[in-house]
Amino acid sequence: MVESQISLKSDDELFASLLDGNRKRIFGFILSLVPNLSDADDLLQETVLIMWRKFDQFEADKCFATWGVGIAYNKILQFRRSQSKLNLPISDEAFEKISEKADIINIPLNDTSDALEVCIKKLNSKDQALINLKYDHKEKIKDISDIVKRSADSLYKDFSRIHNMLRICIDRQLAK
Amino acid sequence: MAHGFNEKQFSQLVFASMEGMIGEQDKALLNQLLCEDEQAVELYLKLIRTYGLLNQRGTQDSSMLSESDGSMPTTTELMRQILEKNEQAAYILEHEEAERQEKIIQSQAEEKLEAYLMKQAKSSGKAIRYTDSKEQIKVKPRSYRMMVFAAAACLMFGLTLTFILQQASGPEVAILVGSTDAQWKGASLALSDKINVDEYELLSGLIEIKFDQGANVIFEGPAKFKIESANGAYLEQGRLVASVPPRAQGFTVNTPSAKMVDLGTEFGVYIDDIQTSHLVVFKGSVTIQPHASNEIHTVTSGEMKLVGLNSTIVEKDLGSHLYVRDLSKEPESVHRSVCFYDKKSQFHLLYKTNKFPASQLLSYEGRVDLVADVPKKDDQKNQYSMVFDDVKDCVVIAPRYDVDQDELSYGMWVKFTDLSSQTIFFMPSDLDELGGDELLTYFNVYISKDKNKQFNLHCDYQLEKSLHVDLKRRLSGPINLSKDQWVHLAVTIKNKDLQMYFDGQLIVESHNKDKGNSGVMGGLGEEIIIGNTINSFSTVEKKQTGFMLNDFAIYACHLTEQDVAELAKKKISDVQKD
Repeated sequence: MVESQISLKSDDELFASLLDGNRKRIFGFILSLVPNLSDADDLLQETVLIMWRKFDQFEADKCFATWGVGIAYNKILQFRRSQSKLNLPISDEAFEKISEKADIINIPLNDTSDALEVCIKKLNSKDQALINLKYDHKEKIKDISDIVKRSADSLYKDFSRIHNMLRICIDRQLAK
Repeated sequence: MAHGFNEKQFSQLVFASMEGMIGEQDKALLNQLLCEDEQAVELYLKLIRTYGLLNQRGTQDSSMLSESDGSMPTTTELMRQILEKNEQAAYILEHEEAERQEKIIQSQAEEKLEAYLMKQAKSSGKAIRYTDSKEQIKVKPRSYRMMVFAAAACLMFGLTLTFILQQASGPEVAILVGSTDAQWKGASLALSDKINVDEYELLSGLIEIKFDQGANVIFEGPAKFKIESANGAYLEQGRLVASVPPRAQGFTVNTPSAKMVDLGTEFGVYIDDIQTSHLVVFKGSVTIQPHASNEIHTVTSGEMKLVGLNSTIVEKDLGSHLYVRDLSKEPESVHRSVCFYDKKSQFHLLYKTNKFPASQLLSYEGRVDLVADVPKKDDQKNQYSMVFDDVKDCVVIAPRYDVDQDELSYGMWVKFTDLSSQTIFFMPSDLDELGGDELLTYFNVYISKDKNKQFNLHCDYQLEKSLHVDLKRRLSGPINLSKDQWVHLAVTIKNKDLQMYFDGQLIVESHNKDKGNSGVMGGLGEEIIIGNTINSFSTVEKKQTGFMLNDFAIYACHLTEQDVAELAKKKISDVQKD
């Protein structure tokens, strides 16, 4: 009994240590495919729970992150299925292509997040105000349209333009 | 990218898909691009990452991204969450079972009651009023209990809400009595709004607050401040002027470096970029005490003292003209800033009069930085403008403007004071295109004098496509230039066509055949430099300058010939009045 407890503790420690070194990659993979932090966090928890439960099946000579990404992928597929009534914009085929690449171009989230803050500051005040309304104040585009007295269509264009500017700026920041 | 798609169009598809606003046709196109084009997949992942990160802003979740180690819960937290989840699941199961058991007992009791009522009805020979009786016995007490519970819950909710609101914002201690062009960050205040003890951030404009104890305070944006009590405020950034009647004597302004207590007076406080507190007393006297010292100094009418974070106190000349002391007088005078937006312009750099000293350029939202002490007084005409008469003189506009579209215009008033040599005066440099694979890398406007002593207005510009020079042009046209005369210059751009105007008249225009996706300049470009030029090594070239500049504007649209003519009609008198 004592021996078993010691062995369990050691497994837990090993799991925690492996997870510590790889959770960013797994989380980055999830967030690349599910761009909502709350959903991504839930999926990470569910993924890690399965990994923990199935840790005895993990083969020590395999890559822990790849194993985790595989489990995460299945969880994301389940999540997609549960959301399928919402008419998902990305087809399964396209999703597969995206997920293949998602793990390859995994960019550290904290770096990206820092870069995003730098880039937002570079936006002009009008664009900053739009970002502020939509993402800080969680206003819907229709409501923003009422506030700034502009059509929703032009706002959609503006937001996609701002997103693209930020994406380019983040790339540049990360390349520095 | 496949299908002749550019990044701008692709990002529109992705954004629409993220917002759930994508049509079936666009959805099919997006999926096709993702299936067939690896570049599109990469772009999609980056855009979706940006979208994901933006969506976390303003939520509690976003705190996860700022944790020391980065972007997600730590392993320990994750393990704890998982264990909690397990425990929660067990708890839920346990409670579901308890609830199920309770339902069974209740159902059995109801059946018993029903049977009893049936029996009673039969024995009394009365018509069976099974339903009513049942409802009377069973439902009414429940409804009553529900009502009592609901009322209690409402009361508790109301009390809790009041308590939470009071805790969050503090009591009301002041009222907003004046507002001019006020732009707020976060909570905004409107005229007559009661003001709670709380923190506020005024991005621009002016507001006037009347404190409950009687002090009147004008805050000028950009300012961060906290209303601390009915007779005090904390000024973290920005400028205020306090007018304190005798009954409010003791009105206190705390700043990052000092505490200022009014002794019945009118005074101004300004916190600069390095958090030095500037105190100017207009009337009466004020005590000032650095936080890190026990020394208390009294500042009297006409004096100004500066207190640094290290508690050093410096005496300076009065800068009373920098403070707005009355909102009701001359509303225009409150536009001390030199940069502002109007309906069309993205950016306006307007140097008005000596009310707007050069030093202000340095501290206006980081939009304009003076490289040299440019604004100078023209003694002969008693006019003030930005004067560029030294090789070092130039104004650098921080890259905060956004002209990420296919059209834009520049307009400005200039007065040449030196026509002896080539005068280079305006250069937006290294402008980045963000909408496609083209960028305008070089754009330089200047004036030269040819052999026949004819002045010409030039614009040299260069477009790069996929990092190769695609188009290199010089556009030139003759102008009748006189020394010491204000003239209006405008450059307008649409797609790759460019027009130049002098005093409202079209001088020259380009006609480029290869139209299309030009995307003129990006919003995240480099700074614009006025008054000097830089060479290809990004160093300032020593070109002789000699001109004055006023009302320099960038318009995020293509000004038409009529627009420019209208602008030129205004003449400098409109922007030069005192």
